[in-house]
Amino acid sequence: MKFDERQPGKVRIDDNKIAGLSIDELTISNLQKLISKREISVPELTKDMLDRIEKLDSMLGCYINVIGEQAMERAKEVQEKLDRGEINSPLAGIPMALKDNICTDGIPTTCGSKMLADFVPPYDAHVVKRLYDNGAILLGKVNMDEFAMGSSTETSYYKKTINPWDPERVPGGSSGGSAAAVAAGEAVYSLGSDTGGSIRNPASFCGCVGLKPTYGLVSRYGLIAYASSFDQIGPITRNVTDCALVLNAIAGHDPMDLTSSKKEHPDYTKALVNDVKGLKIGIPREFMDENGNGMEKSVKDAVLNAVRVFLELGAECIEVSIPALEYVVPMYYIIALAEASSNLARYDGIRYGYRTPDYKNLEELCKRSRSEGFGKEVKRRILLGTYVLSSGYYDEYYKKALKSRMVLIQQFKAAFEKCDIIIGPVTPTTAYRIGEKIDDPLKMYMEDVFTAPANIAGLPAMSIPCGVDMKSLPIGLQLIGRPFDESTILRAAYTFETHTVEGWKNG
Amino acid sequence: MVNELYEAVIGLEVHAELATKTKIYCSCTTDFGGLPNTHCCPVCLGMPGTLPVLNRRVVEYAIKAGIATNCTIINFTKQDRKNYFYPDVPKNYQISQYDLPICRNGYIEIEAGGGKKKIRIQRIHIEEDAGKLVHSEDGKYSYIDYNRAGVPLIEIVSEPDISSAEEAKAYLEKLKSILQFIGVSDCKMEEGSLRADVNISVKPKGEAKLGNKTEIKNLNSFRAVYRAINAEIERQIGIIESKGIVIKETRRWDDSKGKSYPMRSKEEVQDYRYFPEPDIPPFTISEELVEEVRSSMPELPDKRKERYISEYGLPAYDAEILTSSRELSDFFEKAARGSNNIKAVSNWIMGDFMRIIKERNIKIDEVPFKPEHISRLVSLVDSGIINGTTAKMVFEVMFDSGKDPEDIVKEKGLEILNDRSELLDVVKRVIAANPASVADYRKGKKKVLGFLVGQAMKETKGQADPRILNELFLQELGENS
Amino acid sequence: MEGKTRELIEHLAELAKLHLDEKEKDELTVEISKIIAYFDKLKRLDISGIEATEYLNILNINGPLSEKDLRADVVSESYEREKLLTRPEERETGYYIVPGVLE
Repeated sequence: MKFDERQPGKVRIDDNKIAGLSIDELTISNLQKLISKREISVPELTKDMLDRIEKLDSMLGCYINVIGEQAMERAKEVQEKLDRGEINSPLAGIPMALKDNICTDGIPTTCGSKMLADFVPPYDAHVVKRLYDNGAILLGKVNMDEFAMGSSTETSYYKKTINPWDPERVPGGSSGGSAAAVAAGEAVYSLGSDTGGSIRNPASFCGCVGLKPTYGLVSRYGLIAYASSFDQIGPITRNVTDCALVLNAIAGHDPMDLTSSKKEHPDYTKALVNDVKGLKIGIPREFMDENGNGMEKSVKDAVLNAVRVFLELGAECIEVSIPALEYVVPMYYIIALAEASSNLARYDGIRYGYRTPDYKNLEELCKRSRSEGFGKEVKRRILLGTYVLSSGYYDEYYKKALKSRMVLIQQFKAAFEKCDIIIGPVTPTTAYRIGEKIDDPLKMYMEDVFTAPANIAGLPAMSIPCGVDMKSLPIGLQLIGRPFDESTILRAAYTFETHTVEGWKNG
Repeated sequence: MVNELYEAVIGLEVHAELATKTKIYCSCTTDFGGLPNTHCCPVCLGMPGTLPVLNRRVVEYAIKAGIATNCTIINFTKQDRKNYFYPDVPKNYQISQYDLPICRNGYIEIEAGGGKKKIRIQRIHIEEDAGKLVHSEDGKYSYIDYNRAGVPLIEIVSEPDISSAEEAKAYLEKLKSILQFIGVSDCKMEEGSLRADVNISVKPKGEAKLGNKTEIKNLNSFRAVYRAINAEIERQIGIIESKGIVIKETRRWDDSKGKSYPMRSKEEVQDYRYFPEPDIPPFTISEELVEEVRSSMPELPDKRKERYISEYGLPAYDAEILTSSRELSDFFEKAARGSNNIKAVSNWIMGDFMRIIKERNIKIDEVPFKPEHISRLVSLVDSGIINGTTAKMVFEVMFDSGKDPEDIVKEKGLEILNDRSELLDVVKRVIAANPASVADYRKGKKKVLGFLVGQAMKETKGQADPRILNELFLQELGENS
Repeated sequence: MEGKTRELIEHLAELAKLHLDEKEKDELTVEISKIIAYFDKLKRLDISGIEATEYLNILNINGPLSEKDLRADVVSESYEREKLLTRPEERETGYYIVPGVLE
């Protein structure tokens, strides 16, 4: 593997081309053109991607499970459909990867855990059906923190995923496999899930675009639950256009999910307009203060630089204040862990999943299966969640957190009366070294300080690349919008990308 | 059967399975039977990634049950998770309701101590049922069938207003008849669609402080409830008399032994860690829906009973039986409409009708003839066209053919025989054919007359008017004596 | 405080059906106390004036749900048993099987 030092800020794992495109040209729109012009066939493209995975993945560790045969079969099917004019989606024939907590019928779905090592769901998640309907080609299931609990993909039972920008560093988490695969060209796009930042964090560390939709925009049916009132599935892509294309395919009501919204959603590609004149952008004072967020100078500078860019492009930037942001981490963790402790109770070795080989009675079957099947971090979180719900502590922690959540939601609402979108950092630092934070749970929880607010308030939020630091590691800019206003953050992101992609690519 | 010195304070927790077509959170059927685990899907099995989708009819039925029991219906409600591990609970939590139950503060009236007594209902809420465990003979294995997992239940909690086993039984019977009447549950305790747990404590009469209460479970019939309550009252009195303290515990009733035993405690004190169910958003219940349910409520059994007594002039006994089910009551009312002899209609229904549907094992809505046909049958008898014996036969034919009794009588020529000269011939023939009986009669055995009339009826295929036969026999036998 | 927390961990492990060995209990006792102390920070946020209907309706971003939004009572075919039962003994008997439970 070669990291090209002559071009800082550019991941250059190799010089290979796929379909004649270099890795950073590997976008849905570019490939779509080639496919429709018949310059490449879907099976050829799929095979190229599979070959690339075979070459690189033993080093990168993105994939838990590659489904080569099935992918080729499907590629053939989709090509035939295209030939017959039966399918008309921009995603048709484009190979992608799915985070391994998204259920795929007949394909193992492990959730990054030993507990589900042999779990093969007999159903597809709703978003999977949508992508299949759009002619997507599934290459395989990608790595993640166990049960989505983590911010670095280090708690996966299966393997470590490395950051394609620096093999000693984490790709972020919990959708680390998704982001690394897209960054390294092992998938054209991926779906991840975001509960406290799990799409935006790895997107930021790996230099990709990642979007967490408004809570309820995308169905959660088939997403293995971590925290029910925060979880959302979203796209991780190379650029903003691809993000809009994927979002179009997966958004919308699902009768199998009562929390999914019945609201009509717009065509997100219509938001890809290069114009932010008059756009009011709010920057929370609480984000930018060096008050213990642990924010590195390079990250702060990158955000301030983004502000400058937006101002140059005709937007207005104002400071807003959301005081409850100070309490985001405890607020998030109390609610999330409470829900998680209950959501993970079903794993008891009885109906599916890991069953301990050594038990004398039901009690042992259950306890041992759980203790052997779950990793340390998962157990820690289950215990904490049990604590905040238990008798005597419920009012003090859980109920209080629910009320606090309302305070944050109200404050965001007030802020959005003064501005149209809110920007800020995604993570306090760029990608840190593997092993650096894993032994200190609280340090790891603090990684969510900038991303968790959007989950708590159910707001749409994106991470887009906005520069690199002194170590040539990518920095992400976060854009947060009003509920169901993905269009405005997409527009701002698209505009920013258009004016800066060349810029930061060249150092 | 309560001791003079003590009084019992009893509350009942009743679970009723709702008669919806599908389960509470998924579209699997609630049909009974079926091979194990064939009425299941990933949702009711709680498989990873699945989500509960609440069945609207469950909410409607809960509202219906609440209105029928005089409850207040809440306008903003939610579900809650009740967290505990047990193999028949697929998610290891049950989705139920904790502090915002759909119905509150209702009551039903029962007959007690010669008058009416109100038993207050604290709350009614909706929840999901668990699967069923079957155990191997040697106890080494337990087998789990999740067909019943997710069947919708309402839990009805009474205030501790009940003071005896009789009252408890009356409460259960009234509750059952109401729930069945409004079509919300078929309430068959033996089939498990109605379950009751009893909470009971005993204290010296007049004492304000309540005694420790015990919970009794595994009551599978009204009779078991009755016996268990009496046994527990006795047991607790026994403890108090011997200066002991009643332990707060859950006990399991063994009906075959007539005793209860402390249950092997699953957990010491369960901490269910209730919290609002995040997968089912809280929802509002509109005034509209409540009104809709209220206006589509059938007249409840108590009201009907009163009406049958006051309007139809029926005795309380009849009214009670006729209102024992909605189908029967509806059938009776249709039959009684326009009839001049409602008492006779009632008798037919309480007697032959109920007997025959039981014998033939048919449901009331499967009865082939129209309810009005019964009132026609009654008219035929009252106007003397057929006699009582013929009527019984015609009734059976009505069940066989579904035909109008008037048609049956015409077709089979079953009109009553009341031609005196014809009948006189018959009477003379019977007298001639039965000299021994005639002799007995003349000796003073007046009862033999019945036998002779019976013989004459036989000859006339039951169509003779028995009163005329009687007269003629007396005439003939009297003349010659 | 340490002793109380260790007891607490054992109680929580029991509620959550987790088996912890002594080493794990030691580690968790320390970690969890620290994390809970950090959670206590939330107590400083002023939450007065938040009504139950507000904070319960966490999805008021989606607008309130009414009973009309619930599912109609229409039967769908259940899953074939073979798709749900995966172990050989389950397929043979048609049941999920666990060690005997006393009720």
